[in-house]
Amino acid sequence: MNITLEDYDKALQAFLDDVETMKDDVDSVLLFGSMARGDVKPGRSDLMDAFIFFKPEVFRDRERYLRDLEVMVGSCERLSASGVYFHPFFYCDNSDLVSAPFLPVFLSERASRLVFGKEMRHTIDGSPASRTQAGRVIFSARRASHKMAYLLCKPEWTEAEREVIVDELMDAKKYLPIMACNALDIWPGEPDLIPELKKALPTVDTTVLENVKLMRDQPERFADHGVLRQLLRDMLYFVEELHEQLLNKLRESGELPKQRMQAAP
Amino acid sequence: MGLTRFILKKKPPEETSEETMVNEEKLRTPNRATTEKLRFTAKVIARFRNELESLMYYPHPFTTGGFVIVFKDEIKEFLDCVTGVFQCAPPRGLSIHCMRRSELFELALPGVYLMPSRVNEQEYLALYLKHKGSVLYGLDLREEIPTPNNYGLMLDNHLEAMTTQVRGHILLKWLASKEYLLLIDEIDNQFRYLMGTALLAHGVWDVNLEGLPDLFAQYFKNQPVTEIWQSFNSIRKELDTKDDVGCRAAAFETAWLFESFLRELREYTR
Repeated sequence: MNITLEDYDKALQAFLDDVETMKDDVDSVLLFGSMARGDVKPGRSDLMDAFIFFKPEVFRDRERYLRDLEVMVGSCERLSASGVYFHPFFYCDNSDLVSAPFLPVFLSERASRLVFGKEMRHTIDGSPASRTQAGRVIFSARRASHKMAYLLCKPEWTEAEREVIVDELMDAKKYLPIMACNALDIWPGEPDLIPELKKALPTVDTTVLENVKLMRDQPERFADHGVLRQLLRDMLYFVEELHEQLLNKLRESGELPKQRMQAAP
Repeated sequence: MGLTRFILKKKPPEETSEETMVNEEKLRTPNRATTEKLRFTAKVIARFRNELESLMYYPHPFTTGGFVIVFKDEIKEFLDCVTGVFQCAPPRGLSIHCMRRSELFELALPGVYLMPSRVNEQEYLALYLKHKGSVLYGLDLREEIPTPNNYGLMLDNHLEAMTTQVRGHILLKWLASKEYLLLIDEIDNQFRYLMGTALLAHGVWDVNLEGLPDLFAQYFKNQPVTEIWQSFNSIRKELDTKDDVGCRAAAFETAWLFESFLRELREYTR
């Protein structure tokens, strides 16, 4: 199926038509991702990066909640049949604090777009709990990335393994700058993530993030396994370098223990 | 036997002061999973005898557990060591945590919630490693691992992850794809994981998935929460008699009970 920009526009309009039927219950709908930034790549960008902010009373009224849930499920059924790769949108009570990793998209008008209801981005914040969590997940994420090291030494990759590598590299490019900034208690909007990271850790070389972007935009340049292997190697070294610099920085600031804990006698 | 003997073989005498031998009872159990663990452990030791500080195993109440492989701080090519570990054929389904000794504190930091595909092992990892884990090779470093110290924050995070991820990734996705029974099963699991996190705040960590609801009821004497759990159980019990339409209605009702459970637990623990 040949996916065009028009398919994305139609899908968005169908989604908003569904939201319209819940208009008494919905305060606001925000888009994020490529549709919000206006850089949709037909066939490669997915649907539906959106947040529906409901009035809080919806979650206390069984009939209202179930009615709205029916509408949202119907919307998901239609969107998944659109031919464009689809994942469900998010929905929440508008009095909830959002999960802190979402802050970068809501803190920037260039990274999110209001498509329904009232402007409320200036009121969105992350809870203290999720800020604390977001500030530390990079450590377990780094350990999780180690499993990719195995693929570095495999002489040949299956097509499935190659796809896994591409997906993991894309995720790393997207989430590592957020996690690293959050670890340093920096909460920039999406477009400022890498500049802020460079400001905080000037000696970290972020070239690999640019190269992953290149891989997304010009996949033919990375068709050769050797080139992709080098990119994977660079990313794994980048993760280790980032981890080391973060540890040093956090130890300097007293947020982490300077020396290892001594064993109890 | 050969493998067990190999693992039990001690390092040179000058390095054995804090060394703990392998948990023989656990590793002698003759089943396939144990054999795979033994093979992996033996390979890692053979390859990294000079670089390793410790190799530990932890069980986990919700997963099959994993290994913590601790390298010396002075190791220069850490990533090469990690690559080597993964070339030793880790047993399928077990987590592998490679780290330097000075990084052990990271085991007590918050982990990532990726619902429904992965359980966040981090909540119990340090506790189970310290109290139920075993040292398979090298030093017993468990005293150097702190345990998480803010369970209220952990519960807040878990509740928040539930609201952010379960709604989209489980409720909407599986209702739309008509996976009603899968949804009800998964929400059952997610309820239990959340009960486990709530119990940690009461110092209750030695749990299993089956017994969690009863333990939870003992510590959280809150009528609305109890009633929600009972309603959910009734839905589960009646599923066998339902046709597609009935299963769909049960799945939607489960979604409502999920929202109600989160709201009540949040208000009760505030």
